[in-house]
Amino acid sequence: MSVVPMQKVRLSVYGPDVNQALSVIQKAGALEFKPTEMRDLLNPELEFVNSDLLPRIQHAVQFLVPYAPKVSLWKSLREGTRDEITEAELLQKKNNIDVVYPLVEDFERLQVEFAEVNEKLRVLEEQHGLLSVWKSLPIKFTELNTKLTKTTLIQGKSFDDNSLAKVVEYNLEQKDIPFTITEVSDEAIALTYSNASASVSVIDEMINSLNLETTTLPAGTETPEVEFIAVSEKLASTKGELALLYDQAEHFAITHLRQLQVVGEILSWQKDRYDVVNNAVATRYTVVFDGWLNSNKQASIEAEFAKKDLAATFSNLEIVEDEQPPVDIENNSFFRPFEAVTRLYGMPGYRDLDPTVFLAAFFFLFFGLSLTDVGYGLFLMTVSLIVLTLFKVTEGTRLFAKLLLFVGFSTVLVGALFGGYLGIDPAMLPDSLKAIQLFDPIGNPLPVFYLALGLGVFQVMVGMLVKIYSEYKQGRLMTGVLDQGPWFFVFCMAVLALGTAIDYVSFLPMETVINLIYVGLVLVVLSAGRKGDTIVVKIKDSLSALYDSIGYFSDILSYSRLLALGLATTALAFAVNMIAGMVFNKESYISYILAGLVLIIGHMFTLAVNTLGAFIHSARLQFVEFFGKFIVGTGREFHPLTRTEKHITVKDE
Amino acid sequence: MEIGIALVFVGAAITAVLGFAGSAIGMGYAGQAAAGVVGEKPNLFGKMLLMQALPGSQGIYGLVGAFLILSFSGVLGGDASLAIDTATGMKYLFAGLPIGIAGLISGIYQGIVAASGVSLIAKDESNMGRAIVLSVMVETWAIFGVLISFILLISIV
Repeated sequence: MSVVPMQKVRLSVYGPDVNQALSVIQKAGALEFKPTEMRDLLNPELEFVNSDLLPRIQHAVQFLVPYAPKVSLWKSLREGTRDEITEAELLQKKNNIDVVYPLVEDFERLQVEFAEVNEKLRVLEEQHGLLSVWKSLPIKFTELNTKLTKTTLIQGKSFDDNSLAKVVEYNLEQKDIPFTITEVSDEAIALTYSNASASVSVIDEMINSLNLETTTLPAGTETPEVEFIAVSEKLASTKGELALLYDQAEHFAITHLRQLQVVGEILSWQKDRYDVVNNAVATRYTVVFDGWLNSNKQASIEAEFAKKDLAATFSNLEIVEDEQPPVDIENNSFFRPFEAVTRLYGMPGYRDLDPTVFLAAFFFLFFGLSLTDVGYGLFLMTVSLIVLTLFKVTEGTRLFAKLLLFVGFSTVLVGALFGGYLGIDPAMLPDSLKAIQLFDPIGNPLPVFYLALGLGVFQVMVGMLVKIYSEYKQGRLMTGVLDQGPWFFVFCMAVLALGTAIDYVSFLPMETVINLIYVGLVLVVLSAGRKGDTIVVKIKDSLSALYDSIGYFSDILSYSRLLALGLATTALAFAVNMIAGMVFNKESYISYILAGLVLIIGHMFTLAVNTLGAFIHSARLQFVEFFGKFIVGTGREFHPLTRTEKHITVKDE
Repeated sequence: MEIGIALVFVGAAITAVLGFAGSAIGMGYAGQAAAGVVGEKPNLFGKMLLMQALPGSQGIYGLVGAFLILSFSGVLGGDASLAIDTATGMKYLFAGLPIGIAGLISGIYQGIVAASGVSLIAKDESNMGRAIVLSVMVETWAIFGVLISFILLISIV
């Protein structure tokens, strides 16, 4: 339940053992590598032997995925998307990587065929489109150009309701050259004329001036209609070839895609190990790596080295000034789901406390207060229980489902206390449910407002205590007590004053409590001024400490959002019920369906919007109002060499 | 309806709507910047969502303010015999203005700062805390608006 201790280490490995030693480290996911700080030494000459195979497999996988049979969402959730294998099976697959070479070669042949057929299809479709325009032209291809005549195929738009033929005819009649027009359509003609150069230049000039287009037909001997039929037949046959190739690709994907994905994943792990080597240096016999080691796992890694008889050893390095170790957090299974909230903010500084344990209870409660509905809470719990019990999902998804289960439970509890039951009017609830309702947020929101502010005061005070604990952990208990103690005292006295004012407590007379608050403020001023070297700095520090009171004020008022979010859920749910009531008519069966749809869609929408809001704003109260009290730095997240599992997951034996 | 009660309604409506408008504009600015970053770095979606949500507080304060006005004035209880004179109604209306106006302006400017914070996080994820703090500094004034409105409301006799 803390920030994981990190040790800066140097790992020295006997050359031939490098791959196996890195494999052990990758499995443990416990070492973040950094460039080795040893000058005058060269990089090791280790080559990733499958450097040519991996991209070929990745390309094949990328190509084949669209041809793979679609797996239903239900099936993929029930059975998971990753194959579970043991370490022994993994080793066997590593040793048999050569078997994928013929597969990759078969795939590449298939891909070449695909490219050829697609190109052929493209050309034929182009010819087909061209010939379809000219298929009614009664001139054979061989007769388009003779010794004395030339035929130009012209396309263009008709002008002012005159066909293209009429326009061309009108233009050429005044030029005194012989010509014949064969009209194919209003916008396509074949113009036959003498191939004497004078005629040719006149025709070219006319085409340019009218902005017309000339067309060249594909090679052929018969009339366009006959050629069109021939091309159509070829096109159909080529489409058949392509369909056959699609079938082959689908068959290939069914039989080999999974194998390629698995081998690709194993090779990518291998590549990650060799990438790490690039940052290392080598002596004659050893390869030396530097990095940050999760100290909790050092013993198990060393035991694994010994078990596999690997010549690899860690030595500790000194942390140089201003060097910040990477940060990782580790909590027990109860608190681990709440790590998602901490990770959303980012890692705390290496010397800070892991806030997960401290935020868990508050996040649990605040989420419930923001949603305040038994029905929605039960829905969240049901969904998360289904995910946890019926589905095979990743560890990250499981943790999120657990978090949803917790906050769903909190929503049920708070919803019962606030009388929130899917927006149903509390007056219509059975007496047993009315009996447990403590708050009426719509009818009388003030108590909820005060409750929200009270929780704010409590969390801010807990933040101060956590800060004292944090300082204590770093051997600065007195600093923590002097910095936080006076303010904590002021808060305690302010709470006591409030309790006394409303006659809830009567330990001390009100006047004494007020005087104690003044004493606390004097302590705040004196404590803050102790650090300054000169009297001017001391006064400045003291005044700025008093200014902190404004920060505390704004922090506490910020908790009023808990009231607003809870109210928003209740109001929206109530509105959905009201709309459904307006649609409903006892005498019409259709109205039953319509009202049901309004209720289902409306409540699903309300649940989605308000769950998101509850999550974001409960998290924000932690990040801004709570973390600020005791988290000093922002840590760099730990990125160890690890196995990125997409298609396989290796079981513990 | 008496003018006093109508003024309470106007006060609640202005308080809420100005806060909503501030948040809508602010979240729009932050959301535009966040969408650009998510396009390049989809893994930052969670952080971007949080940054976009920050200027949403003013809308929430507006909602709180409207409820407080309706609750303090007695309108929320649905009492048919409720009577509020014009001067008191005006007091409720003015009491809502600090939340509304501070919410509108701070919502817009918090959105602008949040949008800049989004760029900060895009450059380095570990800047998340700093980006939040910078953005939340603007929100302080909306919170003071809540405070003053609350004080004004409890001061209405």
